[in-house]
Amino acid sequence: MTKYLVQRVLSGAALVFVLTSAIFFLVRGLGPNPAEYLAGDTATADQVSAIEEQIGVDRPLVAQYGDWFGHFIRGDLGSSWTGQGEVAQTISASFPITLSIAVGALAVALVLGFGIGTLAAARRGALDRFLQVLVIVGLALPGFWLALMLAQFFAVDLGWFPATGYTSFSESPVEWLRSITLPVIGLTVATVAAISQQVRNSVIEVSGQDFVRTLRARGLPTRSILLKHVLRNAAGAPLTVAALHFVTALSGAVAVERAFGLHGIGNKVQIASISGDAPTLMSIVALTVILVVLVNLATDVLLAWLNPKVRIS
Amino acid sequence: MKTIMRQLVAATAILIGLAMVVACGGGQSGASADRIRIAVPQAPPTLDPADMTEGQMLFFAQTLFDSLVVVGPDGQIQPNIATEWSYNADHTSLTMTLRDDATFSDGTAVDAAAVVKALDHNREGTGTAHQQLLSVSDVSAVDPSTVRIDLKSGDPSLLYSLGTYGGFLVAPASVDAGTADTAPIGSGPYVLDTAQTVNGSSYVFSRHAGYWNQAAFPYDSVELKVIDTPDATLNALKSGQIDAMYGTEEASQDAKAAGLTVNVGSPALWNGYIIADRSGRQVPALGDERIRQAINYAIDRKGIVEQFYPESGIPTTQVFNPKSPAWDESLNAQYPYDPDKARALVKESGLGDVTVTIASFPRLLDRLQPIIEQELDAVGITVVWNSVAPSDYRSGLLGAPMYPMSMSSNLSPWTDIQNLLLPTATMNGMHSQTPELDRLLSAVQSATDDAELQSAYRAVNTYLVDQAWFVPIVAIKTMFFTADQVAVTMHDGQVVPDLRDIVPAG
Repeated sequence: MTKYLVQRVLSGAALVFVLTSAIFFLVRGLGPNPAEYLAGDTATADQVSAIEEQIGVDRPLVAQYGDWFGHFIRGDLGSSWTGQGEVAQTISASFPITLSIAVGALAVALVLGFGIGTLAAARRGALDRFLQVLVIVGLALPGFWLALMLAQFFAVDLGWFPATGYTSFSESPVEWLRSITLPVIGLTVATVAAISQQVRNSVIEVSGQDFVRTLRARGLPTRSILLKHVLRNAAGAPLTVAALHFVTALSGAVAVERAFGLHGIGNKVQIASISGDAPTLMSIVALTVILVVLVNLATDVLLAWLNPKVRIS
Repeated sequence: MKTIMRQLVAATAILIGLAMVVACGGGQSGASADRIRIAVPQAPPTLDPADMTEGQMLFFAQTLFDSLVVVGPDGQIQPNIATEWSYNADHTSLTMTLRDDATFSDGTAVDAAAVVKALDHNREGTGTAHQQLLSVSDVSAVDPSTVRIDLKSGDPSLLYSLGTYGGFLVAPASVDAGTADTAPIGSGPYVLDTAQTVNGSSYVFSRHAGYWNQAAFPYDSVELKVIDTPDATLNALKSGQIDAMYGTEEASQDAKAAGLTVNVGSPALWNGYIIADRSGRQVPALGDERIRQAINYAIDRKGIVEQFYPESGIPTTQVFNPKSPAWDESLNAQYPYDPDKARALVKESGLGDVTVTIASFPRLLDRLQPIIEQELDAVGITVVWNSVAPSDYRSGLLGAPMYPMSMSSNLSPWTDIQNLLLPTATMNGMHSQTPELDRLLSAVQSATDDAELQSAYRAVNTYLVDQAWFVPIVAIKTMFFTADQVAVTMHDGQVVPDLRDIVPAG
């Protein structure tokens, strides 16, 4: 177990190094010049040079990257190149927004996905076919379009939820819930569809196994067999899918954040990409990689707990 | 039965919970009479007026800083911190008298010494102010209430510059402390309320208590909300989360349908192409004025405007602002859509099969490309598109022989001349210069009265249109969407109105 954890941490660190390096050289090699972004369209070459010197992008690329990475491993994320302040502050303000909607979406998707999938597998027939159609529709709906429709109907037309913006939980739990409800729905639909499909298939598969037949022969109630035995054995694949969707939700949050004017990490990544703000971009990517590694680790541990036959190695 | 009951109870509890969340929400509070909430597309990279760039940063600048003069909505220069001013005989020195009751938000006086320091700071910056004050050779205090600005050469746009970024005044204390970018002490009607501001998403400004002209700014506070997508911004306006936003052609129908006010101003932008290789160094054909003219004849401006800019576009052949003294309505008739004439000019040039290379840049008039290619092909000019990466804006795009541009057009044509025509101009990548144009520009700089200036500007404009150095297609009117409770006076030559021109309706 210890060896496994150490391996995961080391591979995560290597991933952070590789990804941030790739992003840095892509952004600086092919992306916009942050000094030009700051100077505006009609700035003279002298003005651009002055800003380049001011923000330090006139130095060799390797020196710029080395400088950032050296500070990063000491926990100093540095400052934005495009005047957006300390990167740590930007992240501490934007991460809770994205995490709120991504975790919220995952929680809702797990509850609904397992509920719908189990129901479809247990009842089959017309209900199953109906749910299958819903799943296809859910998977086919573009998240951005859905988010815009939700904003138009529930926020603009009905006024039930705010059309844009985020309220922190500490400021007002109720307003926090209102501010994340529509973004969560926007992110959830496709995940619910994917999880429920996986749950349905897994439950049907496990239900046909010998041990289930034995349990039925022993006279155990169907409900007990389904919830205590079948679902526990069937949970592996859906949980893996859920973990993957959580990772996807972090990137999918870009579209939803744009639709609801939220200043989450998706929004910050987009702005940093457009403006060539490499320190912000690399720091967010590094932290996202760390988060993804942790989520995968947690998923493995959860799977092992659910099914002792799965050994972490 | 028991199970069904339990499920029903659970479902009811969830519904009640949701209903409570919806009901408990504050709803969308309407705009209060004492706060104006305006959407801006991006957070300010800096709050230092010396480093700010034009565009919607203007709201940030105008909340925090007063300017020496005010450029009225119609372009008239009005007194502000400077109450009177006069030029010397050859317009190379401007003397301004300052009002004596203006203070910075730290209580210190806005006197001549402070103005000198602020203008010198603006000259040394990296933003629009630096460019606007390039002609200034020295700023000095004649006495505590008089400032003299000496120029290297005549600058017909100086007063306009002193009404915007060039003339925004930050306190000497901020300059000395090096804090002008994050916590500037300003001279304007409001101060940044750091307790209510969420950096990067919402900036709240409260009244500067000692401000001399509070009546000109009716709102007790200003909130600038950063929303970077047009759809989300419009939804925020429709649902009452904001009171005003920059408008676009694409969103105007939707805004009207939602009952919002669509304020339409005069054009402040033009879209088209810049032919930079006027000497034919890279693309020999572009060095021939007949080919440049043929390109202008080949473009169906009216058709493009009807298709893409039906609400906001005016077909144009001129790079200057329609409200500026350089504008000459008759020049718009110079290049009607006339493929036959274009073909004849290509033939007359004797260049045979003509090929021109045009740069293509992400999101910059890319929707016009198929039309431009088709229309030029129809008159015997083959277009080769050269894709320029976003990282290569300056050398790749602005250094290209011909490239698309969405360009501001200003009330003072000299600003456009500085941007487009001077040998050092950013949009004059190949440093074109002709004796004839030098002579015309010199006449502009030496003009000492309005009639002479207008005549000189029009001569420059006529020369440019005759020579076909540019292919302007459409002049674009500005739009600003507001909620019922807000009234706006649009500002000529600006993409957004002045903060002082956004007031409570009625």
